[in-house]
Amino acid sequence: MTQVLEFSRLIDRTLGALADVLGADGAALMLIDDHDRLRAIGGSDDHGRRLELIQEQIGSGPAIESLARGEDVTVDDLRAARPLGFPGVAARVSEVRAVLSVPLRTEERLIGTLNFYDRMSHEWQPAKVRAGERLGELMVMVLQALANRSPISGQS
Amino acid sequence: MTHIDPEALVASLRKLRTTSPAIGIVHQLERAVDVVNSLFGYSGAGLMFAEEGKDLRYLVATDDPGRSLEGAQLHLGQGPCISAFEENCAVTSSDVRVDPRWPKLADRLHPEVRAVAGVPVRLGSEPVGTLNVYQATVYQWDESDIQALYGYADVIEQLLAAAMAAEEKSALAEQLQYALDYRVVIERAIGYLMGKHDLTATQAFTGLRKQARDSRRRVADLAAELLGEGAGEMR
Repeated sequence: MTQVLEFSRLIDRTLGALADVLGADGAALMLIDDHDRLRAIGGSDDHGRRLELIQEQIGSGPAIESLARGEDVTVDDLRAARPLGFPGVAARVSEVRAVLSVPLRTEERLIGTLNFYDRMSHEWQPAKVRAGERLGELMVMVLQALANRSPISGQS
Repeated sequence: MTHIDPEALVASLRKLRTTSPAIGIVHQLERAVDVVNSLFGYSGAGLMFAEEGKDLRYLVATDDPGRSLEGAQLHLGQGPCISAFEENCAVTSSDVRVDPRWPKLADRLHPEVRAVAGVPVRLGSEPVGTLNVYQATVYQWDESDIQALYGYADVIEQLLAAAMAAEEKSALAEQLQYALDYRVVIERAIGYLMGKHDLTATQAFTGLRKQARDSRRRVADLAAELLGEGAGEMR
């Protein structure tokens, strides 16, 4: 159990560090679990955690769309009407406005999405989107390092 | 308190374990430095690492000038990256070739190494290495550069911490030690080729790497083989 908490702290700190590097207000993570369900792992703050939980619950949002399409999804304002925004998500996490979701891959296989967000709506510049993709690679490296350890063996 | 769901994380790591091959920490660090380098848009980047209780040694460099930067500092025992490690803070030089703090460095540097910045990579609060970047032209580093470099060092720290959490400490130390030893063999082979063929360090390394690629071998294996042959010639 101690090691699981250590893993959680590591992911928490990594999300915070990645958000800082990109200059975003926060970062959050969704991953596919061992039953092939997309799970809300959490975020660098409570807004990020809720952003992911809501998407998991309603089955819609930038992270879900990014995973379905296997490509980046940029949302300048979550409150905008569909297809530009996700008002259903925005209604339940009002502190998040702009979202960038990048798919995470290992060996060409999709494993989840990394999501950056800001409290103010804005356009995502291509350079920032590319940086988000590369930061996604760093997130995958941390996850891969953690995946090779005994406490996660066995079935849920 | 974190904002992470431990149960969902463990279930996802379990899935990842079945779909992703185990990758050594040294390879991960090489990839991480490569990502950092591409994001910064500077001329090159590198990572130096210290064995427990020992001096700093270089682990990763993105290119030949970067290798010369790290090699020159290790040879002289001084330079911006070594200072960053020893002082546990960011150290910058707008033009390391004329910087009075390290007057002997210029002679051993690749001509493309001019501006240098290094920040400590820490585990806990203790420095275990440095993340370094360089520019091929004179450059005045500002606070945003340093903050960004610290940000990336923080990500690398999490990667190291993840490897430490996931592996026995001794196994991790063994991997890092092996990689550091690699570098010693390669450095010695470069020195041997420089002396034998009157080459610069860059020419010797480029030739060694090309020969390794052409013969589908690792640079370290070829270097060890060359050193073995060299020892035979001297007998």
